[in-house]
Amino acid sequence: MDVDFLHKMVEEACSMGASYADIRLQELEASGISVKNGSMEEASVSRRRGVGVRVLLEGAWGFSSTEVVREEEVRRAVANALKMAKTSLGARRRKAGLAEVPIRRVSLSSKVAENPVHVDPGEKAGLVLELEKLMRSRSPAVKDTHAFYGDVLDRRVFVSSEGGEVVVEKTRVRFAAYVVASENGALSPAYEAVGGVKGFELMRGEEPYKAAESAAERAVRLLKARTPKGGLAVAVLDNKLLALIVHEAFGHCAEADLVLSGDVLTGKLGQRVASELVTIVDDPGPEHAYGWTPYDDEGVEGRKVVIVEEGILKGYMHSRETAAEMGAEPTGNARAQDYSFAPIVRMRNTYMEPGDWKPEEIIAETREGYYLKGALGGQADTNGEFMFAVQEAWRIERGELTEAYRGVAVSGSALEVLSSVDAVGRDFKIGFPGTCGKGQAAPVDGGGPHIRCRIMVGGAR
Amino acid sequence: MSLVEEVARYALKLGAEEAFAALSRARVYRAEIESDEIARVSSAVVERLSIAVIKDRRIATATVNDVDRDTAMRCAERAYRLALAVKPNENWRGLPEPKPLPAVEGLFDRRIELLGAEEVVDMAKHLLDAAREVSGKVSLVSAGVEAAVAETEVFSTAGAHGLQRTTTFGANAIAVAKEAGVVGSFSFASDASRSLDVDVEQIAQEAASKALESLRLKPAPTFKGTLLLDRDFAAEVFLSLAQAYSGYNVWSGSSPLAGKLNEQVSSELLTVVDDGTLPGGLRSSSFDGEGSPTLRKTVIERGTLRTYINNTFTARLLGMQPTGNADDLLSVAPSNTVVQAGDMSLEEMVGGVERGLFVSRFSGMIRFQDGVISGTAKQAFYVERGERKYPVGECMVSCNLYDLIRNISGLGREQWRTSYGVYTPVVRAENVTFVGKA
Repeated sequence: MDVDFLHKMVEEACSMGASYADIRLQELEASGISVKNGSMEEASVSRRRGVGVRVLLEGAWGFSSTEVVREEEVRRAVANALKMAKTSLGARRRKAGLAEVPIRRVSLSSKVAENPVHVDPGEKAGLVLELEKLMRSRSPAVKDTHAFYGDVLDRRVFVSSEGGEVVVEKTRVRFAAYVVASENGALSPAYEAVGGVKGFELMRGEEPYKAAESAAERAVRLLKARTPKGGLAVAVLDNKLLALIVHEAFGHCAEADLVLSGDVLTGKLGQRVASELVTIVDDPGPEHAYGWTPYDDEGVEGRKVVIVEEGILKGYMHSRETAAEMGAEPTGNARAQDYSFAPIVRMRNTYMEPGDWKPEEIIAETREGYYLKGALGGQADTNGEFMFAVQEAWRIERGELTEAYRGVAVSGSALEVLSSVDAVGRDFKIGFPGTCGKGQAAPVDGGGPHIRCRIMVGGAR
Repeated sequence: MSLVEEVARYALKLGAEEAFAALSRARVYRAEIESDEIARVSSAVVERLSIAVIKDRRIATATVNDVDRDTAMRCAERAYRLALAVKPNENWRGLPEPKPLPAVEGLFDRRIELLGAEEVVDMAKHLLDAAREVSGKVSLVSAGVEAAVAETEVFSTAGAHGLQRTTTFGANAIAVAKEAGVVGSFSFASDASRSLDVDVEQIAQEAASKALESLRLKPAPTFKGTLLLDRDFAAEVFLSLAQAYSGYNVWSGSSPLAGKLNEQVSSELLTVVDDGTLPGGLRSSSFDGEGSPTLRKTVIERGTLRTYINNTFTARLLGMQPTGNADDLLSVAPSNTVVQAGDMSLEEMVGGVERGLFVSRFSGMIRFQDGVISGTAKQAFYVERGERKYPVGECMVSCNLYDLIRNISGLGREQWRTSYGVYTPVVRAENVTFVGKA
């Protein structure tokens, strides 16, 4: 569909009464290979495209999307969006507005060494079969294996009635390894994933092999592990678990739409919310991170947001609407899952800055506690309370790792946990691809160093 | 000839041995609330075609939207080219033979089809007002009302053909309460139905009331005792259990229920039915994801495991019959999970508890592979000597799924519809570990 036609449509929306209009045209081309238990399960390809139209009419939003990308249907979507806005006119108490931003006309693509679209599907399948075989080869105790490869080419064209035109093309590649080990009636699951805004070169490197081996070895290693006695404990968290806590338990609370609804960080700008060792950032880059967002879905150039600096709350993440409401600068955090959703405030790549401890020193100088590694997902509330499942836990006694545990979960209040941080490692790592859910799915990344804190540890038999 | 039939037959002409095509179309109206405000109203048109082709046991699927005849045929060509390129699935034994499809009642409500965006917005306003009326301390973080009309048609070159029109109306609310700088926990309430019988005001009131209860939380003690699972928590537990009786997980060795057919796996109080034909059921349909007829089957009968749920692929792997549970040609999914209600009132269930926790929401993991249930209780009440004492915060719940169902000591007499497609009473189970901060 011609970009000039999109410009014409936003002008038409404004001529029909909208004070602002934007259109997002998106095309997605994806492929996936799934291998389970030694057998090629399925290969898939998909092509999707659609258009989302957003209009602002007397301070009320209307949104309409269609998967039928023909001129008459897009024109109908524009009319529908206006109709939607009119239906909510009387229902709004506050009028929505938009903070001013520089209007951009830009086109950019992620840097990819090997475009996965051009890789023969047979070669992709062969590689995934090899990785799955590697998982099974680690031990006879490995019983259930699933290796999955997926790539997606995501092209988004944003056009606004202010004259903005932003085209961003991203290629993402992801590999996931899932293993269940079983022995004498005991079952132990493990999971690893690698990915990024990268091409097929990711699959030709060591990372997928390490992920496959790591998942298989952990599943087997934890077969005989016990679960720990629960309670508040000193814990050293690895980069991956820290990434999840920083994102889920803390980061969401710094999203301005949730701040406006009254979360645990509302009204706390300039106040201490964490230990002085803690600095937390949400970043549109680095370029190959899974959540790379150089421009958001409002056509706003992404900028780095320092959320917490040395323990002090410094800023929130914004869309144009929340920035207008709070008198702040837009940060490029308005993201939409796809054309069928309107953009909302989302994180991108969120991490804790490194400190000066060597990770091994943190463990060596811990008399009694746990070393908690990896995460299997979890949940958090806007009051900062969280719960996460941990992949693997080790008992620390007099600075040494003594016993492995499984079935471990951690919980607590993000502010309390971050305030208890007394050691931050120098080992910075980012590259834990994930899909964040907030009513819409968004690819995100995160990371940080090893840290030590106090956290509630729970287990299960 | 319908488009799905035409595209599947075209795949055969290309050289495929078998093909299965599905076309879905939907129209959705949605009103979204954020921060106590109708944030946006939207309409969406969805149109998607997928085709799976099989050649020498090589299975490939292609999906496309914005469907017309030309894009549909190109989609089939892409699937066929992919099938030629990949490796065979050695376990594949062919598409199922066609069978008569059941008539399933209550899946389409003309009143939902006739709803316009204005009516959906009106209902969102009612939801918002109802939450405000509960207390000024409560905010709706997000909420929504959605009305959808959908049509799905499937065709298999083995001869199966199905066409289904459905409607869905759903509403949800996430509320939080604030008082004197204290922010409570999220509270959720939701409901969904094939009919226009969802009470949006009740959803708002429930979310708001639970949010208020989460203020002034007391720390819970650490103890072993009774767990009372409110409907949403129970639904999560039974959805996880459904993965354990999924034929694929049984065959692959990741389910502890493998090899336990006709054995006692739970308390005799528990009967679980997987029913794809449930009138008005959220996961009801006359056919499943491979075009086979859906069925009603008792999976656990008074504690005894009677069957696994299967599509044709997994049924053949296990030497069983398909049960109408194909998510697609290779994957299995539960339909409506119906947990038979018991005979106890909520008062009787609470009254019999020496020491326990009544949990409305659970934030944590429920893992069917090893049975680990570990997480935090939300909107939870401490119960002692038959009385609800006080709401508790930061309490971890730890137990094992398979122990939990063995230790069920009571089921409520009222069966609740949840938006997960699980129909369940309140469940009471013993010997659960609670780790609190008191």
